[in-house]
Amino acid sequence: MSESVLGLIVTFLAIAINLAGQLGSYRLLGFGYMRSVFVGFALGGLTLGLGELARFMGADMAASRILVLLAGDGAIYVCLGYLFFNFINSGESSIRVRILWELRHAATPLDEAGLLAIYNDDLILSTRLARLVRNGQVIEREGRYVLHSSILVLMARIMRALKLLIVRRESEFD
Amino acid sequence: MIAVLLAFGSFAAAFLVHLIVWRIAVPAAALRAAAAIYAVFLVAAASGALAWAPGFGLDDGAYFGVLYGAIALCYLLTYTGIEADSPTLSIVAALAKGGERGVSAAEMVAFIRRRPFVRSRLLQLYRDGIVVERDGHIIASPHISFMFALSEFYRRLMGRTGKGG
Repeated sequence: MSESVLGLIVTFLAIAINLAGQLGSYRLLGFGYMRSVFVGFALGGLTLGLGELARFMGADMAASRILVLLAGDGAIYVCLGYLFFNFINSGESSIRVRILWELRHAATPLDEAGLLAIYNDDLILSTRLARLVRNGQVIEREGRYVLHSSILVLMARIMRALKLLIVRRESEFD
Repeated sequence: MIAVLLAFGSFAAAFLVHLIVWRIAVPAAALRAAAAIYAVFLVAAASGALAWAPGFGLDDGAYFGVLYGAIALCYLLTYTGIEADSPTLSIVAALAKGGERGVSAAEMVAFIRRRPFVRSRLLQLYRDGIVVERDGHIIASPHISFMFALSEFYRRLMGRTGKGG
């Protein structure tokens, strides 16, 4: 079997374990949503690591070649894991998916005013602020919201830098 | 090994082209244009390697396709967040400006009112043909049913019944 096919088998197995780990830890072990995502990713990563160990241990191959192949398999796993997370997260936080959900589940067809009456920006604000508070990333103190997550600040800064680099504006509403 | 190097190199080249084009002028249908650039590099690199690279077989082509496709899809997904603001990260940026003193609920409401996220995403859905207007009503296109159904199916598997968003 060629090294390409072996690499794909190991990474797809790791992704399958990631998916099963996420679903299993959420449904069967009662883990929280984000925790189940991390558990799934870690289990898949462990599978990938063990698979690669079995594949390359004792292999008559230059170290540089092994490193390149590991980088390729690792990149596939991380990218597919990121895509999987975004897929499941789309049901949690995607505005577009929520709009489509409202349109599909409305008793009668909605116009824009009807849609905005049941799903609007105030609701987005309250939902997300509540989620941030629940996750401990924001603290509510005397009626004021205080940010308590340096990781989120870093993510916001990276996204701002990418926006300025690629689309040359800070916000879609600028 | 060549498949890995080719995938990383092709993605870097495609990103460079994408960046140069966007720095000149952002295309109207930006996401589709970006996807087209990455697709052209996928086809060109795979065809070139299969035709001219010694020892590059169909299995290497498949590996290249999966690796390059995964990286490109990841980037395109991230690009949707570059093109359109994330409400959560916008809220985080507003709270960061408030520092230790924080931001009041009224100030946050005023902040979000200046950012009509729902309307913006609705316009995107219209623009991408995912919804259409008929007799003053918003109608979801039947073409999106598979991905939407898959997302709903997975939420049901997880037992999550909340609406999300």
